[in-house]
Amino acid sequence: MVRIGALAATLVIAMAGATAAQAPSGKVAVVTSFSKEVTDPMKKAFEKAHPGVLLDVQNRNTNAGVKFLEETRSNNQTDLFWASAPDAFEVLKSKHLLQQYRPKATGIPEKIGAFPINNPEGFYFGFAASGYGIMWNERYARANRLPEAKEWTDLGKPVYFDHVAIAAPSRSGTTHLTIETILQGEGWEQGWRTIKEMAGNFRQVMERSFGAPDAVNSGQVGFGIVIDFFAFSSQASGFPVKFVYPSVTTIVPANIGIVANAPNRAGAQAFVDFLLSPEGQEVLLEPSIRRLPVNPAVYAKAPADYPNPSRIPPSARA
Amino acid sequence: MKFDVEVSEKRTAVVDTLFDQLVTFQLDALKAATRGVHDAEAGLAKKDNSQGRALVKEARDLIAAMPLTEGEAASPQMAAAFTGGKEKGARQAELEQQWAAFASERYAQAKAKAEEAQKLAR
Repeated sequence: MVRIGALAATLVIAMAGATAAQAPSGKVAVVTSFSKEVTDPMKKAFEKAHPGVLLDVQNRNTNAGVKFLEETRSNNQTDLFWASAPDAFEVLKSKHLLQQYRPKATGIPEKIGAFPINNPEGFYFGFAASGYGIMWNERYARANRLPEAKEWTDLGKPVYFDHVAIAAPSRSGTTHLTIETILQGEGWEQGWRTIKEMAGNFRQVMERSFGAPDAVNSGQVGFGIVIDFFAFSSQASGFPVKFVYPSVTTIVPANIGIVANAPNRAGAQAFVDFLLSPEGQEVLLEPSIRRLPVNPAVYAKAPADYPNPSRIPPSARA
Repeated sequence: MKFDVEVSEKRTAVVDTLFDQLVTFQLDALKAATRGVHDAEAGLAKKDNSQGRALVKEARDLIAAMPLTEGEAASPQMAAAFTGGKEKGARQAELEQQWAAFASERYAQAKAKAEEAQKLAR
């Protein structure tokens, strides 16, 4: 007993030593398009797992974040870029604003549908899956006698005139991807026709991604063109909303990447590893977040009604 | 469907700018034209008229018309016009004006055609 105890004590000291040798410390600066509802629980969990590290969260919309990294590149103070739109990360990569890394996480598949979860060269990493679709307020729909919408083209029907909201794709990376998905799914000419037929029914074009789901939650408008997690987190908060993936949609990863010349590289790597670890992936299940983890094992801990990308009809998958 | 990130990346700024110039900043004109088409179609459903149908189709095509093709949107010349910098280039400003004018002209024409169709359905 004494010997085992002594051995265990030695192991603890050895492990503590190993951790201390490469332990990240100090401030990790992240530029993100995600709201506080998402970043706060992740920050809390990360700082708990890495005492002494402070995650400094700066919220900017995706395009503004990309511009910020470009404009500050000569005196970069940002360690991480964290946002939904994969094409924003492609832009950053092509401008040499990201650096490569091999995350420690295991058990994450290579692809969601046909979409690679990680950039194959290691410049950015998918941490959650998202799809685009139509969210609506059931009370509003009932009061205005509006049928359920299943496809993008439904939203172009006369019955939905003035009942639809969207965020400007120039201000919302996720809406940009929705528009691009319709253009790729239906082709340039037909896609723009569908978009403008829907647009003729818009009440408003919002300036931020969450403008559309907020308007649907409050019943200001009936229908919103949104990324799935807005609807799932609204449902978790008790709003009377529903969500559908139209047949032309795509399931894409939301991403994180380490900025080139990151001042706190070890801290940045630690956050990426945490986000992709089972512990970090589980934080995504929290009601205020409701993102779809990329680690399939984490779904075992999700509530029974939790959306799962494998339950999205194959026609709707990338 | 298969989402192609490369296709998307090449035309990101063009697609966003097109949306703003054709939809965001022209929403009132686009809605007026759309309303006209909806009303004309409702009228024609009650009292059909082939000339009215033809006008509605023309109006819908005017609303859907695009100032540039897919190839043009992805061209290097177009990418060069949208540098993504803080200062908008002269070429970008010129293109934005052209697209806005293209849309407002066609939405007005579409509204006029739709109103003509409405009269035929009365």
